[in-house]
Amino acid sequence: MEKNHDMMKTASLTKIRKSSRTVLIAAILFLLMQLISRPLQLLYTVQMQKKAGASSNILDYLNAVRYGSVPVQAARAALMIASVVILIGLFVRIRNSESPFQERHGKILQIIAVLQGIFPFTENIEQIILRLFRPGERLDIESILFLFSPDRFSYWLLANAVMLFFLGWVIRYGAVLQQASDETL
Amino acid sequence: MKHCEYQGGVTVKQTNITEKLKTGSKWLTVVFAAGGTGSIIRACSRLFALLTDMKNEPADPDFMIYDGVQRAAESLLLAAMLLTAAFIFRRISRSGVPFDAKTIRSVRIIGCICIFQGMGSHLLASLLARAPFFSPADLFPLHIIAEGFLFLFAAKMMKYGTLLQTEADETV
Repeated sequence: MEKNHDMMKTASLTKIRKSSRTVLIAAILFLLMQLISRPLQLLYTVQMQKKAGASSNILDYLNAVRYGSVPVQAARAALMIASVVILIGLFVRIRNSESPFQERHGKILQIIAVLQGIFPFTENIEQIILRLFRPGERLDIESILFLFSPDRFSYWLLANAVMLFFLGWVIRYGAVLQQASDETL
Repeated sequence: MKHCEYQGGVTVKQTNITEKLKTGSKWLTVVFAAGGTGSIIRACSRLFALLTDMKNEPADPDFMIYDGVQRAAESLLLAAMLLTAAFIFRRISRSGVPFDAKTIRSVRIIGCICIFQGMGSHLLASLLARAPFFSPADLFPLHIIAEGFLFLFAAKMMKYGTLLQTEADETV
């Protein structure tokens, strides 16, 4: 029965290594796309904002509002690229290590989660800074509630970041089980 | 390699992390359940607002239907994800064990919701509005889709974790 259990563990580890190869390739492709698309998106944002000023077309206006400002786009590009680079490093480590459950892997995932958690706040931080320092603008509860309304703030990304952070703790728990299992053997 | 200290057949480190998981899960259960409920309320209010606006004979009714339905559908999908996560956290807060079949299945559901949320909400909205107002970026929000695949990969890792958990429980 113990032999069967060991075989199941080995089979599961093999599946994880195979999947991690596919996911690693996808992550590298995603990084390349980000490195190409983010600068293009920055240029597009500048164009759309100029166009939205003159056009009465609903879609042009929505696109301009949706894509945000240049500093926000730059900050988001930096956060995204940093997250994906660290994620690629994590997958390389998972592929090369004996077990996916290691204390370090959990901590790396938590770092990625923190970076992803900052991502949805970038526009809000910019708006808060503008309202604090621009003459004529004010920062009150109404404006803060507006900034954090579901139409302006991505609760999807925040929820995912929180879940990823928790997953980091789960991996660290798994690392403890792995260590106990290795010592038992 | 640092050796584990044992207490009652279970490592001290395991007990510490279990307590952290339980405490964290308790708070997250409440937050995510509240978020899920809020999203459902928002979806309902969106649909109600749409019905009210349609009575005023708007200039662009197709776009109005599309926008209202898409936002409501997105809120409902977000609610589904948050409530699924709330159930995961509730289970972990009670048992202290993250590696079980139900949790893995729930993580997979969350991954799938993330992957299909863009497509689902926009296609449904364009079906009801009888006009496509979306762009490819709307159907495939790569950021959220990438996180969805990350959750699916994590579910695979957690399956290995159940084997370690079984081994640990048998040792105890």
